[in-house]
Amino acid sequence: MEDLGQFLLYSAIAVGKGALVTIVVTVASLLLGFVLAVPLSIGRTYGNRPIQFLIQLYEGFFRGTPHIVTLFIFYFGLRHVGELFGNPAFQIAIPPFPAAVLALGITSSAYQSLIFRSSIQAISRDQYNAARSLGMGRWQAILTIVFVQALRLSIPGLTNEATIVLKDSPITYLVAIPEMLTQARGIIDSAMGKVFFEVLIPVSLIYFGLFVLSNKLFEMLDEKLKIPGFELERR
Amino acid sequence: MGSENILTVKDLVKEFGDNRVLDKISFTVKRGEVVVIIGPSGTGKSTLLRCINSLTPPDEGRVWLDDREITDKHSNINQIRQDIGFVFQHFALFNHLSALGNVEVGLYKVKKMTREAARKKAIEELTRVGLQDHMEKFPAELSGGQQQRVGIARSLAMDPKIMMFDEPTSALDPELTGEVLTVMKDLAQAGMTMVVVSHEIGFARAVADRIVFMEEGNIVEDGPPEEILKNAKKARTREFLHKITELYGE
Repeated sequence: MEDLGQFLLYSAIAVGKGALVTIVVTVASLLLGFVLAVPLSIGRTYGNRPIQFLIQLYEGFFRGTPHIVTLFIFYFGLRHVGELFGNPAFQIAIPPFPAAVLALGITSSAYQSLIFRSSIQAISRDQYNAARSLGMGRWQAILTIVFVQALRLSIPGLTNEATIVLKDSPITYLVAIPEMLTQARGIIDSAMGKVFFEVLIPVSLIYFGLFVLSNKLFEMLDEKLKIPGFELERR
Repeated sequence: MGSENILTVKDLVKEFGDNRVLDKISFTVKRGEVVVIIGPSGTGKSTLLRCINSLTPPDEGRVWLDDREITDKHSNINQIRQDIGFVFQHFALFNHLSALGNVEVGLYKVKKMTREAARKKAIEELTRVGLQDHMEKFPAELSGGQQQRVGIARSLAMDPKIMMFDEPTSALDPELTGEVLTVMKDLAQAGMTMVVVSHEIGFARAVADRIVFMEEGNIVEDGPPEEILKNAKKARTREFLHKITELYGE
């Protein structure tokens, strides 16, 4: 029985650490995605044809390929990139954590770019024209008038994207990021298959708890940034 | 350019695909003059206003504000636009900013005034259009007439040399139209140079120095209100005026 207590304590700590890593991976990927998606969505809306085309290609590639393939490209693929040019000594070795955040973040940027783009298009062209008629430059009008409002409209879409990235984060298990699923697997292995649901069910519940938490945070943001009179009142 | 003409438009052409919306339009506006442009829908009145400050860049032709050429690629368009107030048919207020925010944003972002000075000036302009009690409200909390008055105050705050109005009252019901027209009349009396696209014949009669009748991208007639309204030379002008007086009253 002493062993069981030890085992439970060890397991709880491991899962707790894993949960923290899951949160860090998710938040870092979302932030990277956000930082990339802002210029992407603006370029896709206001850029010239070639720029729009390149961004469309980028979005299409990262949305259209399995995220796990993207992860493998960043982690394994880049180590072998030299072989493509007959120079096996040349390799780009990205450690697991940055590779995981790059893969999830870049993938997320493709989705977030689309979220922002639809919001940008929801802001009337007249508001942009009005800003220009006051003498604002192109970028000033886009950023201070159009994009701030687009961000506000993007909150529901971002809420969704955040939960998707959260639930995609377990694929980083495959490059040995010590996130929650990796920890769960470790516990199952160390118990030599005697526990299974005992580990997976709590882990699922923690994922669900994080989902609820993230939804709640975005809901609070949504409420805080409400524009008076502009949206339906909450009942 | 003679110093009397504040705005000079020469041979302006704009095409959307095969549709020639402006067909070599030329006209001038004198300092302090109020010009009302009338004409059937789709004859290029709004396009003309937008081409004047290059919100829609014209295909051909030239436009000068005083001696600065707006259509010259080398002029600083953002600089010149500060001197051309523009009032939109559907108000085009910035929805995320209060009435005050709408009026002051151009002052600190474009004119680089301090926040305090911008606020002071914005309060003055909103008071001028009778909105001193609604300054903290957001566009969605204001009536159409109030929104349009914020739009006018926003333009006026930049101290423009000329004001353009693109059908400023056509999205408003008659009661709200009145409050906007009153503001515009006051503005005209204060000596502001104005180019107004509108169907408000009563306003044109009372305030305009000139009425311009446009059709199919051309200026058909141009003269003082009494001449155009009573003795239009062209049958087409008379027919149009007859129709809109039936619709909008005298």
